[in-house]
Amino acid sequence: MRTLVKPSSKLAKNTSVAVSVDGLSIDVPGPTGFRRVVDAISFEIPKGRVLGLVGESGSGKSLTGMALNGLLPMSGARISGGRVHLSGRDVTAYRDRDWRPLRGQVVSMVFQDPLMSLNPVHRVGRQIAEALRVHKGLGRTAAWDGAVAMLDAVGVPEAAARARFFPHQLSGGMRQRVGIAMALACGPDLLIADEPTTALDVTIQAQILELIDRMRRETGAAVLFISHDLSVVSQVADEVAVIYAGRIVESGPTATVFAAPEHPYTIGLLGSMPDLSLPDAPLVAIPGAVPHADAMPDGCRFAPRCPYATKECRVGRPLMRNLGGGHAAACLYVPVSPS
Amino acid sequence: MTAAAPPPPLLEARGLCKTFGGGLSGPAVRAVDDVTLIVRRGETVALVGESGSGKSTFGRLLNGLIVPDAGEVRFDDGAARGRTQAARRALSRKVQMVFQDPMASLNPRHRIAETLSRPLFLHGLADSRAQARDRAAELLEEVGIAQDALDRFPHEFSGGQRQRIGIARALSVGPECLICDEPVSALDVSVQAQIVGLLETLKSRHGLAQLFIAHDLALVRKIADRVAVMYRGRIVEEGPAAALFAAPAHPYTRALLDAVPRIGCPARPLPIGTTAQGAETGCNFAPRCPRATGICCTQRPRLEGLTQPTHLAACHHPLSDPVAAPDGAEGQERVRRIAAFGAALAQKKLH
Repeated sequence: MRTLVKPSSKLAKNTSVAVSVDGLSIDVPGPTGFRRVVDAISFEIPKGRVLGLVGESGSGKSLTGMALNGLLPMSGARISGGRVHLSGRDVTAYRDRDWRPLRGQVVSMVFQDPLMSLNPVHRVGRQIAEALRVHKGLGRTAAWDGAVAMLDAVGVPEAAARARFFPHQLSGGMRQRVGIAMALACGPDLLIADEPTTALDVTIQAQILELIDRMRRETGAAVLFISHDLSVVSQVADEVAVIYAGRIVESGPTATVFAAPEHPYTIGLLGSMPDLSLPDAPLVAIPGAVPHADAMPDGCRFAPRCPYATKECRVGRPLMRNLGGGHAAACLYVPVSPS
Repeated sequence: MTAAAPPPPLLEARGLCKTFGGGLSGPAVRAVDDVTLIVRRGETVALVGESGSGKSTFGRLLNGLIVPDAGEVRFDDGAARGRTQAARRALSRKVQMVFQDPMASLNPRHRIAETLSRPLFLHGLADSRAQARDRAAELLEEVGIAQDALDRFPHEFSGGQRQRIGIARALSVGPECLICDEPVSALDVSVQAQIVGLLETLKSRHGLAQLFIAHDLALVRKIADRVAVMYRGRIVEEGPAAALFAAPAHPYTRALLDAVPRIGCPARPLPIGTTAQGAETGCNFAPRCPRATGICCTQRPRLEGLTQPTHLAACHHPLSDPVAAPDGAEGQERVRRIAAFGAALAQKKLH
């Protein structure tokens, strides 16, 4: 098991790593100038593996995903520190024209609502075919056939007929399958899935999660799975990174982190959501709210909401502590002593 | 089961129907199709279903926000019957609604004091501005919001705080039943549990009955006394929460439960299809159902009692085997840490 959090200068040249993020910081413009919303986060994802990035709204998880696809300028945000390597190349300073050949081929994205990412006036088959023509240089017919084959691969029934549908003619689950087909059409090394099942019903969600898992096995793509839902992440992710107020507070193999969470925020988050398998587990509410980007607390950013916080927690950023087996947490008081 | 008779029905829906559309706007949709449901005093009934199942429409029918095509709503055995304006107002005093998105349901141009005072004047519960303001302050305290909120606007609050204000508004007229339509699904995970806790506290403090409309089955299992599962406008299964979760009888309920992601359990592939259209006759779920036979397509199943008379299912071929009890062994350490976290919070009184 590869450790998630480590300096990646050597690993960047390792091409089995689809993405490596080292100390990435992101600033967004606010009324009083730029403010840091992602603060020196590091992780890497080997090909064929799924990293679940879990956080609440405002944690910076979506901006992180956008940074890996060169989409930050769209929101006025900018990378203010750290390095991003995609399949070995340093893309930190890439401009939009540098990103273009990469999108689709090296990295691609699946969004929460495919209605937003699909063009409503074009047939879905044409939209997939367009990617194949631009990136793979396929002819019109070959690209269309490729699009139909891709739709078939993601489990769209009667793919040849459905390829002629417009996005609004498809159900939410089918649209998300189309979104995934489009993202995977050119065989990217990294798929960024930002809350891909949040807008879907639970029965459809299970099907899409299964599809993502199958596609990464078949294509060998790495997946950054961004979600606020721990139980969803537990279904698909090999490793998980929990992000709070712009910082990764805990990371490690999914089974380890969920079986024995170490950071108080992870514990609180798990306690905030009921689990169907554990009906007797207590439901605990973390007091307060996620801090605003303008008013980040000093020291550990979770300290104001943490029942274990001490004076020491209010000073300085707690470093990630290695807990063995690839598990790490950024808390002064880990590991939790078994009592 | 206790020997005591169940408390009398507080809120009662009988044969409610509501159809939308038809004509120029496209084919008619039977959003709510002959639904009968009872909420008893002090009881939490959860109405679960996927989007488009009609659960939100049913909630709105219940407190008179929309008028049914057929059927009736009775409150406290007839206290609020009829379709007149006065009857609807009387019903809305006793049955209040908590909405999913408090930003959409609080008037952005009204200060909180105004938002909380309006229902008081509307229902004749306050005579003066000063009196209404005092009551508004009490309500805010009850839901855990500082008094200085009275003169602020909705956008100045976080999502969780706004939902608390939405709950305060619902409480303002002294309802006996709250209809909560997805009250936490728009909130951050860490805040959801706060709001659930608040609703539980209010339930026990005021003896409030609740109809809790939700799609999150894990949450429903935590809080509901009784559960009704809706599919395409009809209730397909209804029963005590414990019985329904232990042995779901309707194949749709079983599929729904199997689809809920659980930490530490591998996802189970679903045996059900995705066919969008419902059946013209017979069972709405038949086109997706792995157990469907000829009769399912021709004859509409009635909601009938199973081995327990309180556990009902509308299915020609109900399941009888209980779902495997969760072993939960590998969740024990997690639960222990969560409990310790909760205890530490209680000790620190951060609440």
